[in-house]
Amino acid sequence: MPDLLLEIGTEELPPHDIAPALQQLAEGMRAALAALRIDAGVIRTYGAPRRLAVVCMGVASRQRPMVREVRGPAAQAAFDAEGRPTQAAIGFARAQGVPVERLQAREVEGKRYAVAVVEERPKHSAEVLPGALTGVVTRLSFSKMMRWGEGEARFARPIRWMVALLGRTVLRVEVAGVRAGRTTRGHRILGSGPRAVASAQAYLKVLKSSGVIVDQDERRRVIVQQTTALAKQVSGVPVLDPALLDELIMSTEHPQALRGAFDREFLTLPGPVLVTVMQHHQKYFAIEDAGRRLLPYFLAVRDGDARHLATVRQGHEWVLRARLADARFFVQEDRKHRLEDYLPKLDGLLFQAQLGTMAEKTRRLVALARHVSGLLLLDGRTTEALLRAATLCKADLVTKMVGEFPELQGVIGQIYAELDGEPPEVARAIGEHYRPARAGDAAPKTQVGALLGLVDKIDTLVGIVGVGLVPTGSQDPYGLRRAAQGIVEIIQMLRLRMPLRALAEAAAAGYGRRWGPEVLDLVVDFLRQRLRAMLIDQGVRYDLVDAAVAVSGDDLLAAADRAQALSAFAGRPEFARLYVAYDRASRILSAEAASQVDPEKFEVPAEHRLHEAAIRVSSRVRTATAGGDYLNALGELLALTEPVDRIFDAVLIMAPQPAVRANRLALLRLAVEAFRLVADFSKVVVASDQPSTPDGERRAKTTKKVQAAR
Amino acid sequence: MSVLTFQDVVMALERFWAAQGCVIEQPYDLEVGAGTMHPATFLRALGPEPWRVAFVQPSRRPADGRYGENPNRLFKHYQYQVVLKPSPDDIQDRYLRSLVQLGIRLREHDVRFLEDDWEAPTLGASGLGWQVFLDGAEISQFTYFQQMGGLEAKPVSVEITYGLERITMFIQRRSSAFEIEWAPGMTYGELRLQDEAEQSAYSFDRADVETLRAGFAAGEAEASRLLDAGLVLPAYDHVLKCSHLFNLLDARGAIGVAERTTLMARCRQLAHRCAERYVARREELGFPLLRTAANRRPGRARPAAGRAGGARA
Repeated sequence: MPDLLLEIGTEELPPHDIAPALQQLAEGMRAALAALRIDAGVIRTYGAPRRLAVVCMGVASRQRPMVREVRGPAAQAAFDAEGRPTQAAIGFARAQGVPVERLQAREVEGKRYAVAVVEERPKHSAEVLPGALTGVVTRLSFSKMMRWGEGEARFARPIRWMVALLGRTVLRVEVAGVRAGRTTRGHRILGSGPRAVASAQAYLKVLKSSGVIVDQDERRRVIVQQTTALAKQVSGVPVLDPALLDELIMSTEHPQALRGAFDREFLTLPGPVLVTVMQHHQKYFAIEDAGRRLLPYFLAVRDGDARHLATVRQGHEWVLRARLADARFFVQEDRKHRLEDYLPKLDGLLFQAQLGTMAEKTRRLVALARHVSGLLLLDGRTTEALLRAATLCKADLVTKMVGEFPELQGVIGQIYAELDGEPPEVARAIGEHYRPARAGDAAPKTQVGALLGLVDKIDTLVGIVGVGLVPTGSQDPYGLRRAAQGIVEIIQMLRLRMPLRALAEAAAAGYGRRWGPEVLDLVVDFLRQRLRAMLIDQGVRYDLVDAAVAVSGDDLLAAADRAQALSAFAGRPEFARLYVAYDRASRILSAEAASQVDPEKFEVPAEHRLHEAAIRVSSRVRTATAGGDYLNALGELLALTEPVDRIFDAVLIMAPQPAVRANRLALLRLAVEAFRLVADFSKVVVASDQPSTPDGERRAKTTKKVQAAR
Repeated sequence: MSVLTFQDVVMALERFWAAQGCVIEQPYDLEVGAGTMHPATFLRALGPEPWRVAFVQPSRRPADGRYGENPNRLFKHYQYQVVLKPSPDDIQDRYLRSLVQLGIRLREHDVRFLEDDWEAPTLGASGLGWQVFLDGAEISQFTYFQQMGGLEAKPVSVEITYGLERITMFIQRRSSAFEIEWAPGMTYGELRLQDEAEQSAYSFDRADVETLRAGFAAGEAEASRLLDAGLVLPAYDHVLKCSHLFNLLDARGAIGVAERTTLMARCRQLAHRCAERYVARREELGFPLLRTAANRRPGRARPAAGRAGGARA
């Protein structure tokens, strides 16, 4: 069976767009083949700056045949009393391309219909694939799309050529006015003009001989091996920042590492400054010695071969020297003043167009920090550090260094604060308060840093939500999701039992605006959603998360603890018993229940037993939850299961006498309330296999609806 | 080849792009922050008329001035601006051939097109493209215009902006712009240093804020009045004046945060009106360059001197 190759040749794609595009290509290809009923083997994708490619092994040269049954008009409309087809049946048969006498009357969902059995004639893959592949390519979506030339087509960068081959046959795919052929292009500099590709098997080899290593995994190996070897020659190891490594893999078609050096005197610059200049601005890896001290070398990755490396190195060294000299100049200029001397300049720096300046934000942070310190009864020394850190934390934004290297915000503040002789916890907090700064980054580690991070993030969240800029879809320009995640992590790390809504309210008050309670609702709900997503990411079942969150109000710490406890407890066999007892008791509850339980009206011992158990268990559960011990609380609830079962066996809850009935319902409500002290068990999904994927979530919801309808 | 001077670089680029069929325009005679603001870019990129142009544009950025004390920061720098509409399919290759014309042997270097999206909020303009790096030094900006003056760019123009100081510094291996050899025996510093120092002192310390403000208001009113009168190009001149006065006020530290947003929006609005008016006027004229382009034989341009060398030299 032939192999399939599709290569989209482009101008240099944004590196971060390539991996997602390859995933879309693979999925699109898989779906297209399935929809066309073409059997195929393994799918592999390759991506480089100038090309996205997908190879599919062993593609059937014909479609699988298929018989399709199409439901037509109702049988009584399609056939007359003698069973002869009516006009309706004749029209339907014609539309489906089957002889009318082949229509069958069949029962579908309880009614009889005329059904056409349509046999799809299998076509050659080469005939049906071009249209489908065109669709796959045009449906690719990127973070930003553009038009070029006179065309209307949109892609990440202009498409310049395409290769589409099934076996040795060119597939007539056409996108953006570019018609696919068998001709690819090699490396921009190393390649020697267009090259023909005979078939998918030859693809990698043809490209390699044209200077392109198209397999991204191989490029990764090349970069890691070469940089490691080059660093070793100077007794160091490369600092292989993962984001930079990914970027270099996707911005070179033939990576070649080289080592350059810089003047040792630049090592007096703060380490983060050196690393930022090298990594972010020049895309170089730094080199460290065994003691994790920076060495005066860097590793650049060129897109080219090993020739003329001395010239290239000389160029890179020249550029880096100018960059480092710049950085040194900025640090020297900045250090002419103390960090706090920059505070007045924050008046001229905008936080957000509708929310005023950074100076105003700073004032709000100090006030909010004072509020938090009061709430948490912080000691004097910690309070002092927190307020000082809040005062200084934004000052570095107007320094020359941060102006030049915005990603060093906070880091520069910390370095300058240390040099100014600020207390270590103050400096550290300034450095930490933006964290987590990106996906995978950790929350602040120190108490002062975490609290400063908390007030900064809640201030941002409340303000941005207040002016109506709640993130939608992938759009989150103010990083609110990350801020919310930071808040949730900080609350868990410091184990802050904090009425979050009140904190948000204090933050809103800092803006001096009249935002309605709906803004606070939005903020608290946004935080709850982040917690929910994070817990599910950590592997807690979504239904247990919901059960925990539903009874926790704005106490996210309690919500997280409850969810973890439920998750641990759900693995035990007793959990099913607990759920069944809750389900029985809650299902029958109604508004008919009396406002209070009256033991005088009990008729059998089972009622007394349940009553006593409910009171005793409630009290014990309260004690356990007050101490945050939800696992223990769940254990206490077990004592209710047997009395609940008993009462259903012993009496008819819905007794004919209204007073007795109302009393029994009130008794069951008492038991249900005890359960609800720990979690909202009505959110729990009980099925033989527990779903954990989003897909499973949907499935489970339907299951639940069906149960509810019963 | 001996090492190119600053003026050699300019002349080599002029020759190269003339051979690519570009009209060699001259710098605009008003203060602008970039070649993009030259009417030969901003206005000509609008509408359906094909257009190829290249020119040097001295670009004033008051906030970037450093009194001539910083080797890399300039109040005024020189851009070599190239615009081709519609963007040709082989534009990257053409650009690389232009580097060969500057004596840069591509195989001996590391040339990279690194993603860079461009936006000019005061012009209502945006585009996608790259910064071009040569052995780690940024030497050019490469942009496919998507929007100009708030209008969809159709067909799409490609804009190539060479940083002339950066490129010459690279070629001559100078660590300061002021050490560049502009002409044989004459450095960039000898020509430019006094202006840099004085203009920086003017923008940061001496510019009279009230005069600048009054100028902005007057320019804005004049632009608006001229637009109403249907005089697009004079109106656009006044928009450019406003834009420069805004930059001066900004460098002078005279603009508060809230004001900043409004002033930028006012510039953008005027630019948008100019763009709309310009397209409407060209339409009334029957988009004359559509005809000119049809008549213009490609052979008229001199053959590219460097074609033999090619991008893969």
